[in-house]
Amino acid sequence: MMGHIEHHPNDETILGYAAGSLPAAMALVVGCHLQYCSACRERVAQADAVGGSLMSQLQEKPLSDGRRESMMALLDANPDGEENPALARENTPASESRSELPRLLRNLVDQDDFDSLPWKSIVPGMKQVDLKCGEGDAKLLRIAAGKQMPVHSHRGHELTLILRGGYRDSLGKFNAGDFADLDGSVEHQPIADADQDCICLAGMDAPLEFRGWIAKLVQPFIKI
Amino acid sequence: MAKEATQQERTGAFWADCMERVAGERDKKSFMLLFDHFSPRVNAYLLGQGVEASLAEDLTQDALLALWNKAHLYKREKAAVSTWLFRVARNLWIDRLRKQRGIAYESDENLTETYEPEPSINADGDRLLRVIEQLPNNQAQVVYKSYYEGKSHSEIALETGMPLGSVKSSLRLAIRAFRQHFGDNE
Ligand SMILES: [Zn+2]
Repeated sequence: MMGHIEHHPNDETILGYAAGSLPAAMALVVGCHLQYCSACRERVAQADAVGGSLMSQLQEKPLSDGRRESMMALLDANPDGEENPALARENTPASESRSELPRLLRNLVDQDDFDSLPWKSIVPGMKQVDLKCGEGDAKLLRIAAGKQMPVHSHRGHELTLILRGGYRDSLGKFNAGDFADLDGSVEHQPIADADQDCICLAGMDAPLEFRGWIAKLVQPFIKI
Repeated sequence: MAKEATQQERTGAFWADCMERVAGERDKKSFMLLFDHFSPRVNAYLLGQGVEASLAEDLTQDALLALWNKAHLYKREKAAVSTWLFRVARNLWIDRLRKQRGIAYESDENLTETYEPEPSINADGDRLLRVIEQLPNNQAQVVYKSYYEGKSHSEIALETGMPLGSVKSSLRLAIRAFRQHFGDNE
């Protein structure tokens, strides 16, 4: 389903993900990209290694008296550790591989196909599903085949992962698996491919800002 | 059986050996060497992330217990012990204090199943440490604030008075130095 991936998160975004410092909405988009992109899994592994080395270098803060003894008691209580790793593997149901949704997104919405989601029309040719993530703003966007989104820039930092179909904008062609990492200065106007709807997962730390009076007029209603 | 290594000899390879003895022989002595070395550092990490003192100690114990319980999942060619422990500690911190962010990270079990071995990762954290020590001050500061205070780029800008663009470019330069370490520059 995912072909060759051309566009990836920026280095700062990868580092933020590894450090745990990205807001939930944005971290979710990165986490979903990782399922499809081994190159970025490796980049995150490298950023984790930086975290590990930095942790080793911190000024030591020893635990209180008694903690060492209670740790030893924990070892005695769990002599064999966790059971056979083969058992742990079973908690990934086989059906999951048939899901159209990335694993992390599927965990969140508990659906296996895009069409079963509660899409809401926001303007003709554009639908969205708000995702409850508690920190930042995450949503699924569905742009009808051949349609163009209004010109918009981003007050904050917006991450987008293409899940189905594709679009083109001033930054290039984006296909399923590709990742758009846009900060506040970028203004763009994606046009969906003509052959099918484009479905994207977007996470941002501030709402979109539309340009032009028509867009300003509709903005309060479309609430992207 | 473990020859008592002196402090200087305790490199990444030494800790990986300890992990293998924990996995293979359930060797408590090797485990306690890991505990004595890493627990004050994991604790320091958690305190830096704003975890209250007694909870930080509980979570540190949980992280080390995960090392003991999941030692069979550890693969030395994939990650240094410090890297593994960092991931565990970060996930514990997220579970407790940044619960919303939990939606963005796969469970450890899924990781071992779905992530292919990636052999180009140099699991030796010791050389990496030298790269970090050589970073210019402003780069070291933004890296530190990202990892140890969980600060977003805009929070770091606000706090240090650096423009947001400089925060990002400092991070980018630091990452370039790390990448050279990982040999990605070919
Ligand atoms: Zn990627």
